[in-house]
Amino acid sequence: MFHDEDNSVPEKKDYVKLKIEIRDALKDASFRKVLTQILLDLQKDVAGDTRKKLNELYRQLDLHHDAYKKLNDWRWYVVSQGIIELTQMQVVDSFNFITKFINDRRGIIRKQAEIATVSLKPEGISYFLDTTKFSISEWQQLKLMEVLRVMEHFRPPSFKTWLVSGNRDVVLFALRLIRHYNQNDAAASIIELVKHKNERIKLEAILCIKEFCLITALDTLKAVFPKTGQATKIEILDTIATLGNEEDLEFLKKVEQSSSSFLVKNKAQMAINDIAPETFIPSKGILSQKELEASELAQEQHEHFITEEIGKIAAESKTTAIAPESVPEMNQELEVLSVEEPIQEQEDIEVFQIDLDTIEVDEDPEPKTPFENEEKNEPSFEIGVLDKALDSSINAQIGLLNNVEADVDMLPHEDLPEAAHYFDLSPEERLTFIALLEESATEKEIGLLEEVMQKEEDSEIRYRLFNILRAIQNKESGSENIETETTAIDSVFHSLFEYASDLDSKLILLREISEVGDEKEFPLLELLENDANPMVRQQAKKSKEALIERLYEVNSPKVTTDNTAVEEVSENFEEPIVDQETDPSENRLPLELCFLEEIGIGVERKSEPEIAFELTEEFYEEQEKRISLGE
Amino acid sequence: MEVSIPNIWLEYIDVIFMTFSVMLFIMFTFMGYFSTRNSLHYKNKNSFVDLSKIMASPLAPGITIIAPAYNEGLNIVENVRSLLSLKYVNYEVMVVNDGSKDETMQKLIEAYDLEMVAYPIDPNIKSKPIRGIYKSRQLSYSKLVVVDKENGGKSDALNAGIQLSQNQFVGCIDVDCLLLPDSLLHVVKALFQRSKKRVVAVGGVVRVANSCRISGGTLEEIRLPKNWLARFQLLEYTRSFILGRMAWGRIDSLLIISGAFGFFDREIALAVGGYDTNTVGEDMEIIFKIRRYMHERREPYTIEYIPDPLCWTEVPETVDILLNQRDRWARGNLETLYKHKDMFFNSRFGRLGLISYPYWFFYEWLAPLLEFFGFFTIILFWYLGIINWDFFFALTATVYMFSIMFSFYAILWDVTTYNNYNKSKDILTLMGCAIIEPFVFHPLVVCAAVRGNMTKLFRKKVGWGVQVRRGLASAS
Repeated sequence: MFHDEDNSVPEKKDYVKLKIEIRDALKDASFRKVLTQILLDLQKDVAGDTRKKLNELYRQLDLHHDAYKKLNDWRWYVVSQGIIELTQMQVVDSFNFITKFINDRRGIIRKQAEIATVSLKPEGISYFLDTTKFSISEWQQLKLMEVLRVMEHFRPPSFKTWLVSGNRDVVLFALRLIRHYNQNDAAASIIELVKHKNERIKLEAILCIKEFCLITALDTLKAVFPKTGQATKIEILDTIATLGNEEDLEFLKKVEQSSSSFLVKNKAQMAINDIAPETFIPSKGILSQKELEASELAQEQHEHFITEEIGKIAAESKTTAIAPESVPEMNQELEVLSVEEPIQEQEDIEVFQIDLDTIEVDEDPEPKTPFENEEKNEPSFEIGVLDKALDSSINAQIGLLNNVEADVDMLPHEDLPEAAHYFDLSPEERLTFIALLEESATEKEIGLLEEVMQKEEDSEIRYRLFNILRAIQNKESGSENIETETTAIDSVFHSLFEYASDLDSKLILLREISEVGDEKEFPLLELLENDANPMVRQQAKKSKEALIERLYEVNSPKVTTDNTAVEEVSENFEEPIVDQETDPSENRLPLELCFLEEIGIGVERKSEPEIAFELTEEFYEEQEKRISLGE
Repeated sequence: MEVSIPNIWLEYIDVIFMTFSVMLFIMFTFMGYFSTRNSLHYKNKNSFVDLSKIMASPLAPGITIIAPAYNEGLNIVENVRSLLSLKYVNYEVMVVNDGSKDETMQKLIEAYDLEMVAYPIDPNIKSKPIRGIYKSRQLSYSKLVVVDKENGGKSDALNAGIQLSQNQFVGCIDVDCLLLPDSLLHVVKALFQRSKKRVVAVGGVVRVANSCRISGGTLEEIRLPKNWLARFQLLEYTRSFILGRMAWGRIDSLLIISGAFGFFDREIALAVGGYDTNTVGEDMEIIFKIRRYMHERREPYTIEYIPDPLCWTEVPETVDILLNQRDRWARGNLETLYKHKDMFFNSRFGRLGLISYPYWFFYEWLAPLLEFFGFFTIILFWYLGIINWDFFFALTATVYMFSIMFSFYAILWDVTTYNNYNKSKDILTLMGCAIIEPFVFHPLVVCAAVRGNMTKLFRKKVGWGVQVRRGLASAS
């Protein structure tokens, strides 16, 4: 098979010798049969030039004559086998022998002949469509299209020629070929075929109309609509949705109103919405206006009630502690109230706790379970659906109320007294309070938070308070995710730390962080607090404390406790604080006051620049005396 | 023998049994002949076909595979994975969770990252309420649709799937069945190959997967079942699918498509109202309805049968479960035959009324009852002393030999055509089963059929019963 004329003489001799041997062997019918089968199998595994050579070898060995003989056999499967061999080996000369089977009454022979006709010559498809008298099954159309798809150098003829064929399967196949090869020059015929009695032809014509955007067909589509099957109706509506305009809305609305089929009605609605968006808006599971109003009213009452109840709690808790045994009872009552009358009956103190949770539920509804209807998944006031974590927060709060007389004052609310009561708490209670704030603090608590943060000495708590404040501020500015999005990678030190070659370098970097870093470095430091190396862990902890110290030290009550300082704290949360000592100009006196240094009044280097020095009354008095004495 | 009423009655019994047996022999002989012709025709015809070429064809029709699942938590994830790996372009897998009480739905949601989607649902849908329709968030599972509905039985779940599907064809399968990767290609060919008749349904062979090596939802090695009960059922399935249904398919009179592997033209399935939810033989009943519907419309149609071993399922391995299953089949038979009794010897329905229905009546429904009755008749005759023992043994031996011969023929054709069990030992084991089956397995089947009929006739309310599955994933 791979013999070449340029081969050496011995190779040529071997080739001739082999050829003679094969010729001798070919006299044996069974050898020919085996060889044919081997070549047919091999042909499936090769491509390109090799396949061409293989086909040529098949002909050179005269094996195609055996296939020709098969064509004359009386058994259908032998004839079919012959046709398949000739087709597979591309014996073009057999075209005329095979085409005579194209209208054979035996189905399988006919089908093989059809494929052979289309496959052997590029003009085979035209011949087939011209001459076939039998119907073409869907399977056969599918295979013929596949043959055309893989055929080399195939230039599709203009298939509109066969749209007028008397064989409706030919028409159908031609329509499919037109669509497949994008032959959009047969608009009139295609539009006419929409009126065909055969549903498949009608459907295929509609698909062509949609594919080629034949807007002129819309009137015809509307005209045939009532007399078509459901599948065709849906396709027509889809086509109108794609090609139609506002003039078609009337038709679509009529279909939508009159159709008894859900699918057709649904498709009509979709088509209307495609042309005129949002004509049909969702209606299922939507609350009515009355329900909405009731819901708003309930919400208002709910908020008002919270305010009142907090006031009561604050007042009562100063004098009366809540008995621990009353808590379960309240819980029971709470459950009943919340199920039956979630708003009107909120007179019990426990309802307050429900309210907190209800707010949580509204913000973050329980994940839907597959076994609940959509209605069941809607946010509910039932305590049963509350998250366990929220339950535990309720319990924590109850515990706080039970144990600490004045703890109710700590509940985040603008009416609460200033942070005075906070500092009466024990360290554990403070932590519980902070945890509660972390869960439920809102913008109303900003003042309280700021005040506590100024006075709190524990840097860890200050840092947590800072985070709470930041979260509230982010929420306010609509960027709730900023906190969660800030990661260790955001720190400029992260990459430096990654590339630090040894432990010393890492420790130096950590120290640098405490001196020049800002709050972006916290996630990195927290990450490094869990580092495998104990020295890194230790330094990270130290640096974090130092950084907190440095960032918030300026606002410390030791420096100042007036309102100006609180404002500065607030400003500093929004923008990272610049290290005061990094700008030496801020430590200098203005030129006109430089003389003060000569008389022993200097800048207080480590204090705030704006209030860095102070002149006492005695100084002025002394100055006046000096002037009066003429010094 | 003197002429008296009991003697005349006994003479009639003789005639009835003789006629019945002779007819049975004739029918089975014809069945062997038709199935052989059909098998040869199918083999020759399909030797030219390369199915893989149509995989990406733009004309490939859409198919929805509907798999009802009830308490299938054990294997649901693996089974669905197997269904999603079929070789075909245009198909979707619709798993209908029929109100499972186990974690079926939860497992599906977790494994395939499902989320509830907006899906057009006909408010007048004829099935139990649908709780939600789920699709995967991941593109790789885009072919999967999971319908979660309230419990209504297998038929109800299939009906919901048929109504929700938007494809031209629907396949109704058992979710625990294993389909071979090119199953849909065979099905599409069967659905599309006719040019003169409309193919309204396609059925296929169901093979026994017990003890086969299955990995990752793929059948890796076919093995003979280790369990003897499963072996007998394998022999029974081979006889039924290779000879029985193949023969009925040849004369276009197939009356049943297995519920484990059946494909329908959706339009026709909807037109006949889908599966009957009031019978346990819904897979047979829908074929009766479809045939009736097409006959009445006088539209040329056919029901195709694919003999290739495409669907593999687990069969019961314990007597209790087997008896329950056969009990249910017997009840299903009776319910369907009773519902369509007007077809009995009714020429208006052609071959359906004159051949298929009567055959089904006499040899599928009545035969076990007659066998049961015959057993007691022999005792009665022995008691009355009127039995001719020589004749009795000769007749029994003939029937027995015929039954063995028929089973051997089925094994022979199985080996000739698809050759699933290529070890000589396996073939010999199957032949051994054929020899002892009439004494060991057949009485069980007869008892179950009698029990089923009694249950139905005395109006005892019984459902589907419980089939405990070991699971194909663990079958290996």
